[in-house]
Amino acid sequence: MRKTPVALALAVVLATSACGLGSTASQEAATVTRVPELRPDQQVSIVFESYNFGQAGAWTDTFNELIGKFQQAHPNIHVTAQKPQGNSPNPATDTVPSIQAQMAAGSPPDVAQLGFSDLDFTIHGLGAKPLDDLVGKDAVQANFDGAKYPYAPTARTLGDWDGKTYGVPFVFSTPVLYYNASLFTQAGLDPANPPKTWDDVQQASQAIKARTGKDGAYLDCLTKSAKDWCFQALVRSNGGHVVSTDRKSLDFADAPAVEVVKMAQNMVNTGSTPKLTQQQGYEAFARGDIGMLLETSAIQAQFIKGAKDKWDLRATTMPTFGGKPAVATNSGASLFVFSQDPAKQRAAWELIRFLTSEDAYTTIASKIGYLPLRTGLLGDPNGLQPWAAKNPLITPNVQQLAHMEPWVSFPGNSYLQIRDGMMDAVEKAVYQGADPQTALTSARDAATSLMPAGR
Amino acid sequence: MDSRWRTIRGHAVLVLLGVLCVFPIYWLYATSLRRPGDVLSLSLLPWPLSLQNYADAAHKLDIVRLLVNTTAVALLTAVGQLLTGLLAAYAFAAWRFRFQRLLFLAFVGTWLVPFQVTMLPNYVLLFQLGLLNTLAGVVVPNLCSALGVLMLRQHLDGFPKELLEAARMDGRSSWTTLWTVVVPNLRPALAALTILLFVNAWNEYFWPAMVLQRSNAMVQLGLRSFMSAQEGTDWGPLMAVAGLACLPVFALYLVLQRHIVNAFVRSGLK
Amino acid sequence: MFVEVALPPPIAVPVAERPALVRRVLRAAPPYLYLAPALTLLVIWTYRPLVQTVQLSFFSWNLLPTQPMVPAGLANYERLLELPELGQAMLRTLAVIGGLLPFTVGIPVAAALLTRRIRGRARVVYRALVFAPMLVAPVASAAVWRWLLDPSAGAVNRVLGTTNNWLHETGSANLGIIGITGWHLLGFAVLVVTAGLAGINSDYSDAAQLDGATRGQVTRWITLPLLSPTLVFLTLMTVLLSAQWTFPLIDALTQGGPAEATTNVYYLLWDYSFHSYDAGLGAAAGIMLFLVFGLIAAGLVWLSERLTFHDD
Repeated sequence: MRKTPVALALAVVLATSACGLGSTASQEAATVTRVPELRPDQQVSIVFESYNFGQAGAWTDTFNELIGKFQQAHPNIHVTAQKPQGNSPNPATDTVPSIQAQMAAGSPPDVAQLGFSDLDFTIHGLGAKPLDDLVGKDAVQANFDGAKYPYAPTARTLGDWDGKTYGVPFVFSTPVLYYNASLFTQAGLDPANPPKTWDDVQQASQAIKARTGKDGAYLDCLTKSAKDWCFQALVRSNGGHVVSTDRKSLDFADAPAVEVVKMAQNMVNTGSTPKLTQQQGYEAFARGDIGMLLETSAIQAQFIKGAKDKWDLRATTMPTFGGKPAVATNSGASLFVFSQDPAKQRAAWELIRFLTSEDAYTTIASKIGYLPLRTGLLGDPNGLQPWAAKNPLITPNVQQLAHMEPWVSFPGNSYLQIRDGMMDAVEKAVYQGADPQTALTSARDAATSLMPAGR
Repeated sequence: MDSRWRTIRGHAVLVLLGVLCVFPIYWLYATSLRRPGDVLSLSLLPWPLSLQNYADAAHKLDIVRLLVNTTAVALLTAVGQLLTGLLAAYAFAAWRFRFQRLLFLAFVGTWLVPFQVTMLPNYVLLFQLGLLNTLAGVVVPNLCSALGVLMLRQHLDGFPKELLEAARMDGRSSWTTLWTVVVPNLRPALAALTILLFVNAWNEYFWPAMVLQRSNAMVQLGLRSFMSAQEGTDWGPLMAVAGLACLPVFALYLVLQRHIVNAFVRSGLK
Repeated sequence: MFVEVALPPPIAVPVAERPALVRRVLRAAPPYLYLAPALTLLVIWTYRPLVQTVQLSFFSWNLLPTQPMVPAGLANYERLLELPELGQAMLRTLAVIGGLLPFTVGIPVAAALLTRRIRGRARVVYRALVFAPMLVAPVASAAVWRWLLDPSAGAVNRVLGTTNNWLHETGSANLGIIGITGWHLLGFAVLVVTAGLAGINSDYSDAAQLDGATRGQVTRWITLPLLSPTLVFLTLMTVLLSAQWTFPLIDALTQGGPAEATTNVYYLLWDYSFHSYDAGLGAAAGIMLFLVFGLIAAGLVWLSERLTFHDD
């Protein structure tokens, strides 16, 4: 007698909860057609999601300013800004799960800023809309050309897949070697001649350590939280790849990558590089406690503030491995469209056009420090020329832009675990003394089983 | 003498423990009250005092709104949990009915269900109810607390049944009995429990972080966003925000210390 | 004058009797009605998601409405059990439990025993001090401990003269987390033990002392065994909940790092729930945690019945 009511209760709960989330039937993805322009009286509300909104500071303020300007220019479009849903300390790690959760609930954001490392999954997993189909290839290219200053040629294709543009690259940087010219002088080095090769960096670090007691160099490319954009730059500069060009196999356990890790491990073992986390590393540099830092220009403002009146901050291009040319990769993110509604898709495109316009880049570059992707602005007296003159720090970034290669995303649904597994192995080898070849090989073996089958 | 020595030893132990426990909290407030330039100072007393860190923090975060929101949410949650818990505990204590054990186990069982099991379906349901990005969305799913039910049941188990009987003889309904006989006699326990539930709700981070995406409307979220600030860790203002995040709870504690401690300790004992 | 006329016999008016069943239901209803609000909330916000998550754990799905849920049977659970990190995470969980026991049992018992004589105002003040960390929000605690343990600017290193990166070196990260969690719990544990001690009838120790037992013997053979319900309770709570108590701190301070040094089973499964992008796998991780939790809790409750020495 007792069992029946229990069974009944269970049945009720099961019945009410079944078909809660998804279904086993595959729904047809809506085909994407050209969306019409908005009528002037047509009111549209869109949601813009960016990890830059999650943290207190200049980014949030700058973005709010840009959105304010957009709404003034487009009074019929209302933009709600939000940060990625989730509770990680760094909102940038929540970007993809946030889109997933909101899609499960049935309302993804209309425009979202997602990193290049997620590109494959963004297009094939999350289903970002191909902009070429939404607004026409001409319109997309016209936006890249801009009113006066086009995108740098290497930057235009970063959000493309198989010839179609899915994402408009928004903000990125190349790895820049920032250095403390005051420490250089104290260590007897010439600040006008910064290190050109990694051997130079090691020697300079030893000199700084010996003569000033401060740490020599920190490469913010070798921990899991740093992601793999700048590690890819190092590996490419040494002639290797992390994933094969046909995207079918993983190459990060091959000799070039192993050498990179060995070089970094040696720097830690000889005391040139302190054992710090990413945040501790760049904060220590900002305080003037480290001689050199390989870093994105996105946090340049912090270094400028830390160096003000205390030490001389300068920047140069990435060091090379011996005689091989340095290959820079980009960090950063693109803007994608996720909405299904044609009016919102059109409004989303308008927002993207605005955020990647000359005006917006002028604001973003001068207030945050990211590289303006429309490099012509740097020569415009009404644009960024005055700012560029006062900020010689961007010169290396601009120089490297010309020969930049894309930050490659890993394929498949488990791409994040592949990437994290690789960077975990790198971190263990560099900072915890694990053997580079063994660590990378076992990471590669584990990751190979996560690669998508038959692509 | 032996007992004097033992007393001194006892005091020494407690002083040591007390200092170890309180020092980080003291250091938090001390750092926040130093001048921004003195933040790295190691002196035990912050002098000269300065509210500049608080001003800097208020510049970046709308602290007052955060505190108001959090107070509202914590209060509503605590009161809601108290009421549902009171009703449920009354049911368990005043009647003998079928499935009593099973239903009680159902309450205890919720403690075993980890957050990651419930978060996504609740997120989807909140969205369907239109409560995402609202403070109500933070409160509604948490209106029942297993802890509250358990504690109140314990208290009600010890409640003299004769009083209930007498009320029934008087012909009062169970509802009236609850509010005129039971509650007045349970006031201290109810007060202690409300404080406990308030503190728990105040310190809650994960569910609010899931629900409030459009703005850091609650103080723990604001504090967290400060910790990963883009311009690097500014220790002074960070300690100021952390201090403000704890201040209401500590203020309550200073006034109601005895009740709060009792409530926590009783909640731990069977 | 008045003639008594017999009143006609009253007509028996049949009172419509409520059917027996309805009456029984109405009589039994009140407790269920009182339980209704709490139960409804429980079912909607705890048990319904639990059932949904169980269902989801048997599929492979990346949460997008355009993609189908692919039935996967037990594959998700197998994948989790075969995780290379699982073994290490279990070891670290055991380390956390072992590391917290001094804070939840060892020190509190020693402190409670050593300070039995303190009474009155002093006791109230000490109690207030020792209990304060329990009220600090985990996020705020993370902020201040990050500040105290900062390698170059933090007070701990400056006072000790060391340069350890306490929370970010593999050797010390887990210890740091354990220490901070222990700091939170110490006051609570001390008070629980003190309350337990206060509940022990002093007749026993008095009788024993009359018989000539030393204080140490009394403590060892009488006080501690009579304290066993409290001690067992604290130990079991530590075993069951350590991983959960350390979780907010790990999430705020180390995110499982450096190189997984602070990743215990709870954090590992949490990480998989969020970052595997396969909702089925994440669901399986949550359910596995729930089942393991439940089993351990049941086992510990059974054990506690066996271990406690009651004053009957």
